[in-house]
Amino acid sequence: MFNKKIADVFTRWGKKAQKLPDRNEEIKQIVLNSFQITPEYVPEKKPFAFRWIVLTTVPALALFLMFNFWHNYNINSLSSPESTNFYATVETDQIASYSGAAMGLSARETGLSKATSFVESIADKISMPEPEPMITTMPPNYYNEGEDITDTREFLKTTFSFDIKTRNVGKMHTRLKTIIRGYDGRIDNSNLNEKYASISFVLPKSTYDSFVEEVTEIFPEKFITIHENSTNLLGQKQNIEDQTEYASSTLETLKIERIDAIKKHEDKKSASLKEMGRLEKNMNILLDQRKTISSTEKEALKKIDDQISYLRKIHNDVASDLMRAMTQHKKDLENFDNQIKNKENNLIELGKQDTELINNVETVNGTITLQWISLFNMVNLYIPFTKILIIFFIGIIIFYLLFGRKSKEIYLP
Amino acid sequence: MTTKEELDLVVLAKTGDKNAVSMLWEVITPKLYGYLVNTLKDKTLADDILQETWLKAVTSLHKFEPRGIKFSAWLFAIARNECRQHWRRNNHEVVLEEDESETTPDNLIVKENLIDAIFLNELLDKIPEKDQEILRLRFLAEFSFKEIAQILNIPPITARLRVYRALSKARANI
Repeated sequence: MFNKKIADVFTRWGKKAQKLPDRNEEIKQIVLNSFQITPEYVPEKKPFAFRWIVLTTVPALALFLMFNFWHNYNINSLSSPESTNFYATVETDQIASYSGAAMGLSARETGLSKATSFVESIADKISMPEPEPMITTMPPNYYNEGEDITDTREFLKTTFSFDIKTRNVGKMHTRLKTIIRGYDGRIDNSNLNEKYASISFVLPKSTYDSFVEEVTEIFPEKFITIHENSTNLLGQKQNIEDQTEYASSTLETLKIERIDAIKKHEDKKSASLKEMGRLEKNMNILLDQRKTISSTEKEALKKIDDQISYLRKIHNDVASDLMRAMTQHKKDLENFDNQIKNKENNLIELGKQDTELINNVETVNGTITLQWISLFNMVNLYIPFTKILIIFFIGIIIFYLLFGRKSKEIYLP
Repeated sequence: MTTKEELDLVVLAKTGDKNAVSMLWEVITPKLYGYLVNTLKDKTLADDILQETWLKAVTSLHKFEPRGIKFSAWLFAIARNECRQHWRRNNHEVVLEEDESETTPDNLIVKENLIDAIFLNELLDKIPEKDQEILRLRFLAEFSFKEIAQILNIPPITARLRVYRALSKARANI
C-alpha cells in the first residue's frame, strides 16, 4: 500500500526529471550528420535457447510416465486377493450345488464348501495386509449357457464389497458392525488392527439397498469404492427342477411297476395253487379207484400207481415253481422298495437344495474393508499425485518462460 | 510511443531516413538525458555521454535486432555502458553539481514539485547505487519490468523484485 504511494511519488518525480539538454539541437545535429546508410546486418544463428529445458524436462517426464505405467501395470497384472476370494466362493459354491444336485447330494456333502471356506480363509489372510481395489469383471457364468431363453425368471444372487478409506479404522469398524446388526445382518468374520479392518457378513436382500444408502452417507464419495455383482442362478434352479421332475417320474414308474409285479405274482400264485388243487383232486380220484381194484389185478394197480406218481411229480414241480416265484417276488419287491426309497430321499434332498437356493438368493453376502488413509493420500484422492506432478512440471515451465528466463542479451556497440 | 511505432521508425532509420532518427531523438532523449543527469550528477558529462550514446547507436543501427527488444532499451543499455566505462576510467567520481535550471523562476512555478524533486533526489542518494539505477529505469525512463530486465540482463521477475526492494528501502529512509 505504502509502496504504491511511494511509487506514485517516484512516477511524478520521473516525469519531472525528463529533460532535453541545453545543447539539444547541437548534439542532435552532430548525431544526424554522422548517420549514414549501413549494410544490412545478418545476425549469427544462435543455438536453441530452450535446449536445457528440453534436455531435462522431456527425459524426466518420460521417466515419470514409464514409472507410472509400470506401477499401474503391476497393480493390474496382480490379481486381487479379494476378487479371487470372491469369485472362488461363487464358483465353487455353484459347482458344489450343481454337482451335488446331479448326484443327489447337498453341497455340504460334496465337501466343496469346506474347500471354499479354506480358499476364503487363505485369500483373507493374503488380502489382509494390503487390500487392492477389486477388479470388477463378471465371473464366467457356467449355468446360464444353453438355457431356455423363454424362461425369464430371475434368481439373482448378489455379492458386494466396500473398500473404505478412513482416518479412524477402529471407530468405523465398530460402527459398521452395529449398522449390519441393525439391518438383521449376520457377521461371519471380523478382523481389526491399527490400520486395517474387515467384516464379512450376510444381509437379508430386502434390507440391502437401505444398508448401502446408510453406509455411503457416512463416508465421502471419494473414500468409498463399491463393487457389486449379481448372478442369476436360474441355471441352478432349472437343474434342480429337472432333477426333481426326473426323480418324481421315476418314482411313479417304480410304484406302478411294483404294483404290476405284485399283481402278476398273485395271478401266477393263484394259477399254481389252482393247478395243484386239480392235481390233488385227480390223485384222490385215482386213489379211490385203486381201493376198488383187487390185489390180483396187478396190471390195473400198476397202471393206476403210475398215473398217481405222474400227477405227484407234476404237483411237486408246480409247487417248486411257486416257491421259486415267491422267493423271486420277494426279492423284486425289496428291489422296488429300495429304488423307491432312494428316489424319495433324492426328492427330499432336491427339496432342500431348492430351499437353500431360495435362501441364498434372498440373502446378500458382503465384505467391508476399512483401510487407514494418510493425509497425503487423502489429498491424492482429490488431486491424484500424477496430476499434481504434471501440473507442477507445467507450472515450472510456464513460470520459467514467463519470469525465469534471462533476458536476451543486448548487443552493445 | 508504442513499441510498434518505435520499431517502424527504426525500420525507416535503417533505410537511411534521417527524419525517423530525428523523431526517435525527440521521444527518447528527454528520458535518456534525464536519466544521465540523475545518474552522473554532471550535466556536461551527461551531454557528452548522450552524444556518444547516440553516435554509437546510429553507427551500429544495422546491428540492432529489434526482436523482443525496444530501441530505447538498447539506447539505455548503451548509455549505461558508457557511464560504467566513464566511472571505470575515473574511479567512479560523481560530480555533484547544482542544477541551475531548477532555480530559475520558470521552474519554480510549482514549488511543491521542486520540494518533491529535492526530497526524492536526497532519498535516492541514501539507497545503494544498484537500487537507484533500477528506480531511474522504472520511473524516469518509464520502462516495463521486461525492458528493465533486458537492459540489466536479468530475469524479469528479478527486475520486479529489485524495484519492490528499492521502493521498500526508499520508504525505510523517509
